[in-house]
Amino acid sequence: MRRGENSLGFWVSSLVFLIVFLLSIFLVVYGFSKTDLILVFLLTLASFAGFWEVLVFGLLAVFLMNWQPWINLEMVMLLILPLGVSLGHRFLPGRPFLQSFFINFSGVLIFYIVLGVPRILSNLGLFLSFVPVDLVFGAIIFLVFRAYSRRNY
Amino acid sequence: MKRGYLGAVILILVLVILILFSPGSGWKIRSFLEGRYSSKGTNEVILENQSLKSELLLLKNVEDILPKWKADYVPAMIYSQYPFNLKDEILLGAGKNHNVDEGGVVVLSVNQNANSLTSGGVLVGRIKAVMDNTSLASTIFDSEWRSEVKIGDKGVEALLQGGIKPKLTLIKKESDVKDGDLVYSTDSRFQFGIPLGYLKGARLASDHLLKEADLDLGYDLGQIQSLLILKKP
Repeated sequence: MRRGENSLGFWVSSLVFLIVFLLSIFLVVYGFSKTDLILVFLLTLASFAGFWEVLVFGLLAVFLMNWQPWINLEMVMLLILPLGVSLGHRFLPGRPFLQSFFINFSGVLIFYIVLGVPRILSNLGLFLSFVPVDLVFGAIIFLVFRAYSRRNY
Repeated sequence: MKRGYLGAVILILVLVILILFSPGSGWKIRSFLEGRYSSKGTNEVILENQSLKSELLLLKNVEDILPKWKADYVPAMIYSQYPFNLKDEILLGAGKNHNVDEGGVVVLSVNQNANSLTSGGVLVGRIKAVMDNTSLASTIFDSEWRSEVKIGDKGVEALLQGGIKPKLTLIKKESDVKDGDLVYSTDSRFQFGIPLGYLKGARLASDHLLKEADLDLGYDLGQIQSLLILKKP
């Protein structure tokens, strides 16, 4: 995997974003629980794409996911976490796949810790049930991005 | 490369403008994909909601049991719903300009007349913030929701604990509750006796001192397009 700027095509990222966005909606429509697919997508993308591309997709995610007329903590986190990963992932040790796994786990954990530890503690079972799902989706998105990156670089 | 950055800057500017000045476009896209979007007026959508009556077995034969109350209401479309886990909020299309107050009770309508609701709503949530034309309500699907309820015609006390699957807790071990018993609100913040659902699967709690049970709702909030906000008496 080539790290750094623009190792992933913008159109590939757009297509994966569209699929992930639709999947996150249809999973709920068809009776499954909510997921953090968009957050995981952005966290994974941040290891492949450049800062500006992550910012574009972060803002697009905020536009589509915000459920209030004002900016709230969740949307700030949705934007800031991937940008932080984009700037700092190259300093992480380990293989890219494990890095991505660690980034997704830490990102989801930080996201919910910031929203309120009591919420996690009073719903520990639920939390422990959706975090692995997020990680599996993160791994799949990573493999898609890596496959595309390898083919082109 | 410069062209790429210029494109990114333009996209960023467009998105920032949309986020700040037209957040409703984002809700509409999501509502459309969720099958919730309707170009019809609120009242027409509420009439469509009433077709859910058959699914809301909840209110079958319970009007005689429950105390009678009457409240004026404001109809409101559901614009959007909290997209992540561990929390549930909905944005409703009525606000200060429609005389919605903080703390207003949000119900699913099944039996309203022209402008007032008579013992015919199912408790869904409570208004927590009011803007000019919208209001934000937390729902019984929020993990921090707690409210007092009673179960069945014997009025067994319990605590409703919100969540993806709301739960009835703190039910006395010796109390006689069974599947199908009606659960209704007795919380002082709401009109007394608004139904919530039916009790399902009563069991001993993990401490073996009390019982707990699930709440059978009979509706899926994801399929609902509009709700009523009850005005304070």
